[in-house]
Amino acid sequence: MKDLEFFRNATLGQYVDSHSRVHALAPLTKYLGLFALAAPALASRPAYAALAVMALGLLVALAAKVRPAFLLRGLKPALPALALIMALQVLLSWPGDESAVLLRLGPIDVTLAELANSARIAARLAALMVTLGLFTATASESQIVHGIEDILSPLSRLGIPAHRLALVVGIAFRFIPILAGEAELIVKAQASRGADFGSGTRNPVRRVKAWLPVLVPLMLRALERSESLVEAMEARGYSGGLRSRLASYPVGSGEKALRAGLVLFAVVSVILVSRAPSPFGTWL
Amino acid sequence: MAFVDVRGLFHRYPGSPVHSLSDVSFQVQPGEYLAVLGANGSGKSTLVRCLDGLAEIESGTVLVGGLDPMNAEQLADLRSRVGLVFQSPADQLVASVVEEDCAFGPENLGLPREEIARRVASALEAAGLQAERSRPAWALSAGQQQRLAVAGALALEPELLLLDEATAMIDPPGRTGFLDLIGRLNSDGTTVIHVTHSMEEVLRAGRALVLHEGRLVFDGTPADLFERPGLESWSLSRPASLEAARRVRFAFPGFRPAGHAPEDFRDELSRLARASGKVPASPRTDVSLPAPAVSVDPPREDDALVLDKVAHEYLGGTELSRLALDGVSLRVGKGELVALVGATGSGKSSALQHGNALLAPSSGSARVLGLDPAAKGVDLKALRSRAALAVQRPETALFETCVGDDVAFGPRNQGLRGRALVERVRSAMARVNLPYADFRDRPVRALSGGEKRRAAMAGVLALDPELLLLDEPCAGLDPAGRESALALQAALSSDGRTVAVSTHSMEDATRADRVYVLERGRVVAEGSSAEVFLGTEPPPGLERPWAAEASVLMWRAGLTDAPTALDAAALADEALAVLGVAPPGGVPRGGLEAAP
Amino acid sequence: MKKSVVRKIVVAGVLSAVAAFLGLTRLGYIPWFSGASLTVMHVPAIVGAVLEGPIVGAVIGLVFGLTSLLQAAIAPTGPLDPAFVNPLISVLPRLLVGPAAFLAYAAFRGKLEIPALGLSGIVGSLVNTMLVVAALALFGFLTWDLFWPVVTANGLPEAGAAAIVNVAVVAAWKGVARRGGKASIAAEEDR
Repeated sequence: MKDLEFFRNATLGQYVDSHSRVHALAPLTKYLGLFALAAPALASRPAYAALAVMALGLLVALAAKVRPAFLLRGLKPALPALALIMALQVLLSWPGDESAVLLRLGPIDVTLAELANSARIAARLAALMVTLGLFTATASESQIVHGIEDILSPLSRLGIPAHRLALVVGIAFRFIPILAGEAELIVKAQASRGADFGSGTRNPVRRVKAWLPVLVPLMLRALERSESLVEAMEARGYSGGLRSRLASYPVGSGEKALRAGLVLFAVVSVILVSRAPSPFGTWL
Repeated sequence: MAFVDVRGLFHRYPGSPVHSLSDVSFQVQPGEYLAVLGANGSGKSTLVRCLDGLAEIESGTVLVGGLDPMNAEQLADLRSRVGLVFQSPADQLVASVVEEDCAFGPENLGLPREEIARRVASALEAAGLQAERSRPAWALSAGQQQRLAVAGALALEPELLLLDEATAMIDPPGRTGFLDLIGRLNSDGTTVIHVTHSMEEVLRAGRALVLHEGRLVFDGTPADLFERPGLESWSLSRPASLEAARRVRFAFPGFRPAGHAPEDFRDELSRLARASGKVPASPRTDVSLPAPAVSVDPPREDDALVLDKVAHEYLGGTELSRLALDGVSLRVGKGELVALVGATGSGKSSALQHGNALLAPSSGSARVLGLDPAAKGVDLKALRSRAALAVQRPETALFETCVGDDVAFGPRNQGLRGRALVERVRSAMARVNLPYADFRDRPVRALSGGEKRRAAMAGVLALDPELLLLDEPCAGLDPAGRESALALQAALSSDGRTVAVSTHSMEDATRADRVYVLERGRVVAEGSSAEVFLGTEPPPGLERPWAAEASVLMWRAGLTDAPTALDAAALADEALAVLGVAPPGGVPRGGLEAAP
Repeated sequence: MKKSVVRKIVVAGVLSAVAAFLGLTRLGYIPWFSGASLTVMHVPAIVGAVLEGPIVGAVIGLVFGLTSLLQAAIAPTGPLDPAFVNPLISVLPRLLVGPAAFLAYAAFRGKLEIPALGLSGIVGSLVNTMLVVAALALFGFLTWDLFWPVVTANGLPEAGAAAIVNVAVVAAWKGVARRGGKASIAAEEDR
């Protein structure tokens, strides 16, 4: 019963600790890097611009000793979705589309704009997936949390306890595997009492009913466990105020220059990719 | 001056008509090791929470290190001097990485980074977790997680360590490592207050408090406590070592072992046997028992459950893949009561889950009630209600508002309606001692922990199964709850139902007809409990039940012809036979209370 | 139960984890007639808002939105997933789910506890559906003609599911009696 193994899916991206120089960067720098690649990927108009961003991402991956194949493998599950998008693009006719009709299949026109749109969506998605995959491969959970803390630290200086948001994210990370264990136990308990999950019935109302005995105790257990965690945190002296931190990420002058470079790159590349000339006219 | 000073303490939960603590007073001196005992719901955990400012005091005074937990300004200072470790290892870890979790306390104190690093290093060192410092916390074993929780408390450099049933959820090897750590800290000067259900752990403390219905009913040494009549009325029991010695003493006054180890029992018996002129035969120090047997009888046609060389890979094909079962063969005969024993992660739960087809073998085969769950056309839903599984901590899956409805979930899924449904629910609830008339409309959330466990058990019994698979039914229960869970097992078995139960307690396993010992996904010993615990050398890492160990030691010393005792009563009879005294006839279990 | 900052932080974190977990494992998707799955991932935001206030609800919505953004980008599974890479579609509407649910609850809580919980589930859920569908239409992933059909086909059953879960979880957690405090099995006794 493979459905019952929730740990299989309960991770978002995967950290690959290869001790590279990219891994050694401070979390804040990694967030800037994420921004510097994600912004042009999202802003790119022609598909080739997005593909250029993706290629850059793969080059950084090489420097980070993360195999490009590892990142590209993540694209595979997206292929059916991409096929669907393309089908939708082609099947629907879009108001204002005056581009050349390339192919006529009965009532369906395949236009240049539709193809170009499909290509752009696919390229943007691929670029973003590579970028985010690279980020989660090089930033561990605790660095993701520390990064949020560092980004928000100017607020802390104003006396606003912004670290609380970082703590929320940290607790969420910690609880996902715990919830996976709880959910597995609950599903097994209810399956042992004759509940059926997914199997057999096609009746959606019955399927909704089948989830209640899982969802309700899962949320109740989450709340019960949060009561215990509240006590544990209070007992260890936390009361919501400002705190210090063990982890520190000393930033040398080289890394400072890199940060400035990343911001500059983000600005320039966004301008470039959003104005990049399209080989197929205005629609692209 | 006392480090903890409690006077006339009253506490009441909001909306509750009764006090959870009434007029509790006691003092604890620096460096003491205090055990706090009592049934579930007796107020032990509330007391600990009052000491750390987590529960509101209604009246009375509490001072810890001279500080008042109800004073908001003193509370932060108080908490920096007190470490608190809770029951569930996973619920008290805050950060994902070991050293960051350990740093959480000192970070809250706003200490400089260097000081935090120093404290974390020394706390992890003390807890033996230096090598794990950059590992994810969830990847640790339960025993390691609990030591990490202690390390997190130690990083505060506390003068007082409060342990709230901190060993309830870890297996025996993890527990020993944990208790040794606490013992070292105490001998280095840390004051320890240890709330526990384990009578064996009380013996490590210098002093014991007993709470009963919110009142302090005993304050004295553990030795005095266990001499007292009426322990059962406080839901306590005697450790096997004291129970056996006490039974011997009843017929042979003067039997006083020097300590609580099985060796002490043997030495005392040996001394008295010599003194009374019964010189024992020469010791059998060089005789060793045969190695444990793992030969499983060939399966029979009517066996309720047969696993044949079953391997199961958990999360196969991912980086987390783990071989949970590695060629397990076992059989559970119709009407048998079989125990699966082993540490956490030994494969007990996986084996049971093959018993109702929740898991399918990666290789090998399973047969449940004569059917192969992997065969086409087998109705798994119907099979699961004939071979019902109560998962670990089954109370976590309760989801209906009212107890009666939750118990009815299973039989409703079986298609039962109307009077037949009500009768099924009524009899299942009667079995676990939750009378239908009283508990039908009771909100699940208002039940105590022990009652929730019983309600969840009723939900499984309501399926009216032929084969019951119980995964650690006694885990986390107080002695009275554990006794009633064991009695339920025995009653189900004598009804003619087949029962397979997993446990990490060797004592509980002695109550079964047959025992399988599992280790790292393999069966390492099999046989009747007498064969496994008395007839063979225990597999590495497994400790015999206390009484069985003493019985084997007595045989080795030449005092007896064969080891026969699995529990304290039988051990006492064995010892009395050595001393040439007839055992007191007709004294029932616990019937010695009137003795001098 | 005393209100504390620590509890707000923890409940926000834990319920965010529930939302993320439901999304990551696809447990939060219930296949439905219309073809598009019903989702219940926004329910933790509603429960969090009812128990700990609008800010906690908004924070859970934020984490849920970010998770669906990341998931749409890293491991898309549905035809509309690429749209959710846009934070204005995936994050912004989710921020408002909790606060809307809180307002609905706050208006009727107290004596009408159970109806207030049901209503807050419906309101929170509808805010989620309508804002997301509107954002999808605004960015051209759907046409506006589809607004009401989608809200009816998916939004209404989602609202029903959210109301049921919200009532079941919060009533059990706060110990509020339902059906006059009687078990439904009582009705079987006379059959």
